[in-house]
Amino acid sequence: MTVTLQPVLAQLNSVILGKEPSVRLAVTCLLAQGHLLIEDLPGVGKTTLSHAIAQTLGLSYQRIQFTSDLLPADILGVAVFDRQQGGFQFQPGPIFAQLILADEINRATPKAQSALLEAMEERQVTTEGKTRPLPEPFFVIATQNPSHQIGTYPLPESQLDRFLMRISLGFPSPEAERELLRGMDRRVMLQQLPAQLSADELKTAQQAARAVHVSNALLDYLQALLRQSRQSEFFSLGLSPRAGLGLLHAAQAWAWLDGRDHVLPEDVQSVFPAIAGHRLMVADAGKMSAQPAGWILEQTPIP
Amino acid sequence: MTRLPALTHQRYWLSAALLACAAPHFARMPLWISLFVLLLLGWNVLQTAARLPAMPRWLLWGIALAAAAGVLAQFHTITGRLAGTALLLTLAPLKLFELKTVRDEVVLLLSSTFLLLSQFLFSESMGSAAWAIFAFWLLLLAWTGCQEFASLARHPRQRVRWAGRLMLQALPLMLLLFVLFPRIPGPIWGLPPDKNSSISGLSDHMTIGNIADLILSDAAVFRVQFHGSIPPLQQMYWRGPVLWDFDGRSWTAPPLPSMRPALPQNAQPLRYTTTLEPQESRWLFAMGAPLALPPDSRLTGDYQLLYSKPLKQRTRLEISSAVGDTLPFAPLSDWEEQHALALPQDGNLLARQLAASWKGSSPRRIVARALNFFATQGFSYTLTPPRLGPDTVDDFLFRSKQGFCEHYASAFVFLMRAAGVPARIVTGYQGGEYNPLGQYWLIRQSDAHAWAEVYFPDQGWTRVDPTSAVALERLTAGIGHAVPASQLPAVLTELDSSWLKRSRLTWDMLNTRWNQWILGYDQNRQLDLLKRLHPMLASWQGMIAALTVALMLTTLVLARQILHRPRPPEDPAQRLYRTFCRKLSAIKLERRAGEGPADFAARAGRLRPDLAADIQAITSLYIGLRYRTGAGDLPTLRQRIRTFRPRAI
Repeated sequence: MTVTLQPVLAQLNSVILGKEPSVRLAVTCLLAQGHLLIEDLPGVGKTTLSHAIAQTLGLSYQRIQFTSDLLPADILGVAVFDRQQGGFQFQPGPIFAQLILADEINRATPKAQSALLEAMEERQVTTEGKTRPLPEPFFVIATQNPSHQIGTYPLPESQLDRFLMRISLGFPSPEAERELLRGMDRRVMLQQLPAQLSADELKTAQQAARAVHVSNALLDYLQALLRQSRQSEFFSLGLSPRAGLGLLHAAQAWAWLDGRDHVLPEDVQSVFPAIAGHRLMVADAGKMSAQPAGWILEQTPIP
Repeated sequence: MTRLPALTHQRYWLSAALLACAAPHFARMPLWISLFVLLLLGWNVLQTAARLPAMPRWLLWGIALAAAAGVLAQFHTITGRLAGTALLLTLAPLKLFELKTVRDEVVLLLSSTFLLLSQFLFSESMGSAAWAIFAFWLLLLAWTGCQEFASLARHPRQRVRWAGRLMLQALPLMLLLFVLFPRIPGPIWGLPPDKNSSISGLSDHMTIGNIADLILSDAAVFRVQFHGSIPPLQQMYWRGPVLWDFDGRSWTAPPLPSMRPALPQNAQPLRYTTTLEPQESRWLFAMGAPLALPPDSRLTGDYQLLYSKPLKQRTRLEISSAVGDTLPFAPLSDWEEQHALALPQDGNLLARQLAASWKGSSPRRIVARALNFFATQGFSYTLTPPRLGPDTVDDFLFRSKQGFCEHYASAFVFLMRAAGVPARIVTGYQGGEYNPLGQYWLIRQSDAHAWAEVYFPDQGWTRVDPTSAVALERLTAGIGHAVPASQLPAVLTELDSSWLKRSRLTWDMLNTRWNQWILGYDQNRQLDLLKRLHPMLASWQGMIAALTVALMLTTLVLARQILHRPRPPEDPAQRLYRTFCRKLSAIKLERRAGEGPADFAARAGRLRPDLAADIQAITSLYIGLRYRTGAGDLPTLRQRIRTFRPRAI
């Protein structure tokens, strides 16, 4: 079975205008079986993007709005007493869906955040002494406001590391914005979006991406990037082995989207900023340019 | 402070390292100290293995104080070489019981290292050095188990490799320091010698039986390497103390008047190097009369070659001698005549009678008659002569007739003096053992000998060895052949077994080399060597400067090796691609360090559309080789890059 994701990309780009690179990264993240964090200002299309992805891929979709009074039970579900049955009945929470949009994740308290992040890592939920698996595939898109805004609980490093990628959308270009203003209402459009892929096809695509060939030369380069991040004096925290593994899988997915059976250093470079950006802790912000990931890419020669 | 991970293995390593450092001291310490150390080590291993509760603090303190008190009681001090070492030896194992932090472990390792070093205060032999290397390797092994290494090197094989590599890295630094570190004359530690360690040897006093005691010792006295001709064994008389005065029982050397000894004229010189083992005396045991004085030495009127101070360190000297039976001729001085004819007032009447009957003949005739007397009157050579009465000479000559070289020399000189021929006793060594592996002669205490010198008016002092009249084999083949095997001490009979003899010779040769090249590398040799390398080096300033520079260079080389791991062999495709990039950079198409090959090809193609096709083709060949499987075509890539000749616009 050969699967192509071109129709998926085309449909997403018709909804999110002028954001091809971000859309492509989001799809890559999904293919690499990682979770996605979108950090941006309100109203640039974060929710629209995640909703469009769910619709296009034909995934069951739940949205959780994170607020400061959100409790873990609001995410995971609660046991409710059933009179007819005469016992407690588990009411699954919104987490039991294939694609979760966790909106404004950094507005909730750490307690609620960790309930979600546990589920992301384990791909199962344990409540009231019983473990329940989450559906397959399971994909979380979290959005957060830039952390300097009022009323936020920034995610700690350990939890940021669970997101494979962090992307931002940014304001659209004037042409894209004009088209948006002239075009159809996005809410209506989203409801009309046909599914372009079945769950099986998605699984096949994910497996195919994992099988893309990685040469030793490429691993040399990848390790050189990791080493650079760990040895540089500018970062108090280098990239973890988990980040390295994610980088590899994402580069494979990127190459697969390109229709290649092998990974090139360019693939690594394309996904690197999205993967490294939220994991690198800049030790001395004064000395570092705004783009630490870009700096590492420039400083690391390709062997 | 870093807490230690609970690694039981680490305890065993530390105990093993400490044991290795302490072991060389066991032989020289009182038994209770060695037992105490072993007991503590054993207890610690048991405690670790059986997970017994830690020793309470008060008990540790109690044991430490008791150990210190024990050392104080044993040595009446806690400082000085032996007592200080004993204190360290008893206290170091106690540290094993309070390993709580990394710091504790480092303290223990450092004290073990110090303990290991302290063995060189007692012995600088090759065996000690070899043991030190082994023990230090164990120390490093234990060291790799502590601190931040611990998590990295859990596997013993990894640690063994690390410790070995650390030692190899230290090797060049060690050699540099050995060659270049300025030497101070004499040992650095000016420790007084221990009172009880007197080294026995010949002295200026000989009582009958002295030399027979020496024969029992196989200790080396000196080694000789001849340059040029080697005299026959029976000519090898190494002269030591010369004894003039006889009181009826023992011979002594009187204080000599100042006499200028005549140096030999136009004699055939015999040149050799002698290396004397440390001893309390000053005799250099020259053969015959020296032609010229070695540095720091003095020649007495009776041709004893003396060093300026006791030979407490191993000393190496070049000597050239005139060899023969006679010493250079000089008229007999009054002092010599008086002492060389003096006899005790009374006693030994029979000997005096015998000598009186020879009076009137020429001195040579008298000597011949005396030797003949020994040869024909049933005398025998033995290491176990019977006890002699108060008239030692008479008793020996007419009753026991069994004796050793000192009996013969003593009786002979007595007879000469009684017959009016000036004579004196010379003690020293005779012969030696040749070591064919090292090509030198080894002279042991068992080669000790006594003989006589007689003054002939026409010839001067002449050597006469009365022992030769009785046991010629003693002089030609060594003592082992002169007496029955049952009389020989074990050390001498062993020499006959050939493989044993061979291994003894090999061991002695190795030790000699060690003494010569490692321990003997003193200030003079260092200056000699460095002068030959470069005259600037032969001063301490030069040495320090050279040492600093050399240490810096070595450290740099080592640091480079450590920081830059050897790279894996370069991919041929990569090398070709580098050539390709060089060609492009020549026409100002520079590839950025972090630019991928496909990106670079696209950019270069945009900038130079005329080359785009070539660049694209080469790049995809390269990518095929480097990043794909089974898509390699190296010859084509090589060919394309060779023919790729871009021109600048």
